[in-house]
Amino acid sequence: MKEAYEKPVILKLKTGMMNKFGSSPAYIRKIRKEIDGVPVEELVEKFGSPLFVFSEKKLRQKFREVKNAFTLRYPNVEFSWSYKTNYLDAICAVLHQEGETAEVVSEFEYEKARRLGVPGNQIIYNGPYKPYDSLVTAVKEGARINIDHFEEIADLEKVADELGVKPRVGIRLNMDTGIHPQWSRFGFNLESGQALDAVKRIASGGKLELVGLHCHIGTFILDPHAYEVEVRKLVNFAYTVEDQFGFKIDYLDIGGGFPSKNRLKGIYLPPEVAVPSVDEFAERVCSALLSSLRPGDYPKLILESGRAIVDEAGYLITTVHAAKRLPSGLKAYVLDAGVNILFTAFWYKFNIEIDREVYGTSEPCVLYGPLCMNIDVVDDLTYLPPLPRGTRLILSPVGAYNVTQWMQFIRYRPAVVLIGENGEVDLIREAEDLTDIVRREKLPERLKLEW
Amino acid sequence: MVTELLSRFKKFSVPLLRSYSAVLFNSNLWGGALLLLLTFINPNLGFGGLVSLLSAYIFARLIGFKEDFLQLDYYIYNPLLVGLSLGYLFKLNLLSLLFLATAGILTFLLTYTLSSIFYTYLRLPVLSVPFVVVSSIFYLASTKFSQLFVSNLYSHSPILISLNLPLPVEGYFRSLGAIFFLPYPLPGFIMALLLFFVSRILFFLSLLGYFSGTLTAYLFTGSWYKVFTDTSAFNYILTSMAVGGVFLIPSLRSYKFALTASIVSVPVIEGSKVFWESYGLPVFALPFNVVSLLFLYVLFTIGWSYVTKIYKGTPERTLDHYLTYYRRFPFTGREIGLPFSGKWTVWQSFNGEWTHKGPWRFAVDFVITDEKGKTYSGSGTQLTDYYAFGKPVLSPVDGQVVSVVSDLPDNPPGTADRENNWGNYVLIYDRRGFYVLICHFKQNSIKVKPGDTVVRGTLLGLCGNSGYSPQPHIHVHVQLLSYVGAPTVPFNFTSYISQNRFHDVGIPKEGEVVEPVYPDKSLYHRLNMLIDQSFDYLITENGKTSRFTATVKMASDGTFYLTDGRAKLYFGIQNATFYFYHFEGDIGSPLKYFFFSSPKIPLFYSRELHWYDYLPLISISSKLKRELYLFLSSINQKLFSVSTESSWLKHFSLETVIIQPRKTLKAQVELSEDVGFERITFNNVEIRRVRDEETSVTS
Repeated sequence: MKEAYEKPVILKLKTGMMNKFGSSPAYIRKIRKEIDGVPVEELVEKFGSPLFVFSEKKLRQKFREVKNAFTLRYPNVEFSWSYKTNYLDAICAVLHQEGETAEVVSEFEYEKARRLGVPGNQIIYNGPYKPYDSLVTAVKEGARINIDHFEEIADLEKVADELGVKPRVGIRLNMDTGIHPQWSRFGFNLESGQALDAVKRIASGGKLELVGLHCHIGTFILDPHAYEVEVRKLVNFAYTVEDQFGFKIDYLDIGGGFPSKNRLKGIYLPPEVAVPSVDEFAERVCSALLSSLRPGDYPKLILESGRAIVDEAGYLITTVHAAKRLPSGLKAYVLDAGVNILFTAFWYKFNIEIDREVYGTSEPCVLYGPLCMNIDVVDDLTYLPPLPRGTRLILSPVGAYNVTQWMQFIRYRPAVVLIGENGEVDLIREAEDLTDIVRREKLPERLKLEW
Repeated sequence: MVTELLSRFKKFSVPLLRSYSAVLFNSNLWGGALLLLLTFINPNLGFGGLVSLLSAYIFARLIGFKEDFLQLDYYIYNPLLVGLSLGYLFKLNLLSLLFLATAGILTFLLTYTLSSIFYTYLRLPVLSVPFVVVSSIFYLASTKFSQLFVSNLYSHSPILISLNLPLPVEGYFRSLGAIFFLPYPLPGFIMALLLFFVSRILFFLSLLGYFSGTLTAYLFTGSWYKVFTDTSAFNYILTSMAVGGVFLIPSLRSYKFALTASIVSVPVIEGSKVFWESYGLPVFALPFNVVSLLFLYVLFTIGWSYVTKIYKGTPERTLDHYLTYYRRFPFTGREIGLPFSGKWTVWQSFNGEWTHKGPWRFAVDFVITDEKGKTYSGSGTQLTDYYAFGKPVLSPVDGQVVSVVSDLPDNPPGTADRENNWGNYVLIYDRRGFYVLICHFKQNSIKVKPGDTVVRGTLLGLCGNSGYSPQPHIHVHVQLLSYVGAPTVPFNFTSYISQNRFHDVGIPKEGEVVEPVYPDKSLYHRLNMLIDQSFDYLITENGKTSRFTATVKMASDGTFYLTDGRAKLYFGIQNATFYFYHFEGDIGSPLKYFFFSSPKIPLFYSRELHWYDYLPLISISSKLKRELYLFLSSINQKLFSVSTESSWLKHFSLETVIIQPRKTLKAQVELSEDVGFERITFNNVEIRRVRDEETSVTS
C-alpha cells in the first residue's frame, strides 16, 4: 500500500524526566470503529454528522451498577431520574423501565414527565422557582414537593386551602459538608437554624404534612466523605423534626452530584484514578445511614443521580471539516460540532477517539467548532495524528447535560440515535430544520419583503 | 327502655337457643328455636329441659359466673339434656320441678368439675358425660322416691300418625328424635331436615353412622327388626358426627374414622346395655361418649394433624376456615427476614445438591449475580472480583447475639477451609425460641459481640469467604440448640420480592433472585388502624344505598378486628404485610367485601408488584354452589379454591382479581389519606367512606 503523503513536522524533543505514566502522547491514539457493534460510518451515512449516539446497553448497565451499589447496602432506596441531565423521552423511558421515578425542577419538566406517562405521585418536584399553577397541579396529582423557601411554604398552604387537602411535602436543606463551594442558595440553611425555623413555620401553619428532607450538596463531587457528613446531618435533623414536631420523615433525599468518568479541566490525573467509584460513595452513604438511624427505622433513601448514570452512555460523532496551521505553529482542526451542542466542553476534556487508523506521529493540536465565534473551542490542547478531512472523531462521555443545554445557535441541532440492546438503531430525536426554528416566529404584515 | 329489655332478652335467649343446636353440633339460632319448639310436642319434655337449664344458669350467676360461660356450649347442653331425660320420665308439677332444679344444679357442678379434669389431664372436651352421669343417678334415685314415682310417672302414647315408612328409614328418624327424647318418626324427620339445612356434612355423617352401626349390629344379632327399633342407635349418629365432622377436620380420613367409630360403638352399646338395663336404666349417650373420647384421646395424643382448632359453628365453615388458613398462612413459627439488602440469588436452598443435606438440609445460601448469571466480574481469581464480597450482612431477626467467631481468614476463590466449616459466624437467639446462624463473614468484619441486642436490619458484618466456602456467599439457617452445627429446622423468609411477586412468607428456590422489602412508613400508617377508631361508609349494593360504621375492637386474645355489629373481620400487620385474617359472623355484613377485595396488602409499593392469596369458599355468592363445593371439598380438599391476584394500581390503591371456580370477579381498593379504607368496589358493589361533614348532607 502506498503511504499517504504527510507534510513534515518538527517536534520539540523533550529531555529531563521521563513521562512517569509510561506512554508518550506522540504515539498513542485511540481508535473506535463502532459503537455497540454498529459501524460509525454506517451511523453517519444514515443520520448525518454531527450525531449524538446513546447506548441503551451502557445506560442500563450503568444504572444497575449504581443501583446495586446502594440497594445492596441499604434496604429502602429509590432512584429518581434527574430530568435536567437528559430529558429525551427515550432516555427517560429506559430509566423509568428500570424503576426510576422522575425528579423535575420546572413546570416544563413536570409536564414532560406527565406526558411520558409518569404518574404524578412518581414525580419529585424540586427547584427554587415553582410557579403557583404548577404547584396546584403537583399537589392535585400527589407529586412529592421539596420546598425551597418560605414563600413556597405560603404558596403551598394556599394550595392546600384551595384544594382542601393536606399536601405531603419535604424541605430542601443546605449545609456545610466540608466542601467548596457550599451550595447555600438552595433551600434552608441547617447550621444557622433556618431549617428548623422552616419546620416550625410548617408546623404552626398546620396545613402541610412534612414527610421528607432533601439536600443536594453540589455537583461532580469527588469527595465521598462529604456525603457521609450530609447523611449524618440529615438523619440528626430528621429525628429532631420527628421528636419535636411529631412529623414522620418518610424519606431522605440526598440528591445527586456523583461524578462520571469524565476528565475535568485542570485535573491532572485521569478519571480512572481521580474519580472514586460509585461503590465508595454508596459505602459512605449507607454505612453512615445504618450507623446513625435508630434500630428498625429505614426511611426511604432517595438518590437523584443523573450524570453518573447517563454521561458515559452518550457519544458524539463529529467530522473533521478542515485542518489549519496556526501562526503559533499549532495544528488546528475545524469540526462540525462545537460548543453550541457540547455545553460540557467548557469544563470537560473529552475522551477523543478516531474512526480509522491514521499514520504519523501525534502532535499538539486544538479542536475548533463550526461557529463563527472565538469561544467555540472543543479542546484547546490535545494530541492527534494528522487527520485527513472527513475523519470522524468520537467524543465521550457526552450523555449528561449536552442534549438539554444545547443551543440552537448559528447551526441546527443534530439528530440523536439510540442503539438498542440487540444492536437496533432508533432515531430518538430528528435533526432540526428551518421549520423548527421559524414555527414560532410571526412576521408583521407590514414587514413582508417583496424582493 | 324497650330496646334495652329487648337487648337483654336477646343476650339471654341467644345462648339458650344455642344450647339446643349445640346438641346437634352447630350454632344455628333458628335451628335452636325449632328444636325448642319440637321438645314442646311433649310439654313435660319441653318444660323439663328449660327448667333444668334455667336452674343451672341461675346457680351459675349466684356463684358469680358472668354470661361468658354460656359461650361454652357444654355448660348449657348438659343441663338441658338432663332436664329432657327427666321430663321424659316425669310429669310436670311442683315436685318434679324441684327435682329438675336439683338436677340442673348438680349437672352444672359436675360439668364444671369434669370439664376441668378432662381438659387438664386429658386435653379432651367433656362432651355429654355429665348428662349421662347425672341422668343415671337421678333415674336410680327416682326409684327410691315413691312420692315422685307415684304421682309423676306418665305413660307415653306413641305420638301421632305413623308415617308408614320402611323400617330402616323410620328407625333412622326415630333414633335422630331420640337424641331429644322424641323417639318418633315425625320429630325425627323434622330434625333430619333441619340437620340437612344446617350442614350437609353432619347430615351425611348421621346417615353414615346410623346405617354402618345398625348394619354391624344386624351382622351380630341377625334381626333387622331389633336393630332398627333400638332407640339407643342414636349413639351411632352422635359418634359419627363428633368424630367425623366436629373434632376432626372433615375429610375422607375423618369419615373413615367416623365409620370405624360407629362400628366400634356396636359392642359398647350392647355391652353397657346389659349392665345399665339390669338397673332399669337406658344407656343414654354413654357409648357415644366412651367411643368418641377414646378416638379423640388417641388422635390428639399422637399429634394427628387434622384436628379442629377452631370450630366455626358447622363442619362446613370449619373446613373452609381450615383450608384457607392452611393455604394462606403456611407459617412455621420461625419467620425470619433476609439477611441482606438488595437483590441476591439463591445459590443453594433447602435440600441443596451440595452441602444442604441430612441434619443441615434446612439452610439457604445467597450470592450476587449479574445479568449473565456470573457471581464475579473479571477473571474471578480475586475475592474482590466477587460481587458479594464485602457487602453488608444484616440481622434477619430481633434477638440477642449468642456467639461470634470473627478471625478466620478468607479463602482464595475455589478453595475451602475444611477445619472450620462455618467460618466466621454470628449466632443469634430469637426470643420466639430458636437460633439463627449466619456464616462465612469476611475476616474481622463482624461488628457485633456476644450479648449484643440486635434488631432486624442491624449491620452484623460483611460477606466474606471464610470456612467451607469456595466463593463469597451468605449461609443462613435456623436451629433449636445453642451450639454451632446443631441440626437445622424448617423456617420461612418473610416479606421479599422475587420477579415482581411479593411473598409474605416463603423459601425461595435455587436460582431465584430475591430482594427483601422493609415496610413503607406511609403505607404502614395508613393501614395501622387503632382500637376504637371508627369509619363511616355508604354502601351501594343492587341499587340500594345504606350506611354502616366499622369500628376497631380488640379480641380477648389480643388480636384486633373491625366490626359493624353483625360480623367481625380480624386483621393485623406482620411480615411487612397487612392481613385480613378471617371473617366471623353474619355473611350478610358488608365487611366481607373488605376481606374479599384485599385479603392481604404488602406494606410496600412498587409499580409492577403483584401478590397472591386465597379466600374461603364463603366468598362465593351463590349459596347452593358454595355449600356443594364445601361438601365435596371434605372428600377432596384440592377440588375447589378461591384464589386472588392483586397488584398496585397507584401508590395507595390496588386491584384484586378473585378467581372462583368457573367465575372471575374484580375488586378495587383505595386507601384513605389518613388511615383505613377509602373506597372499595367489588363487582357491582361500591363502598365509599363518608366523613362527618358529609353526614349531614346524606342523612
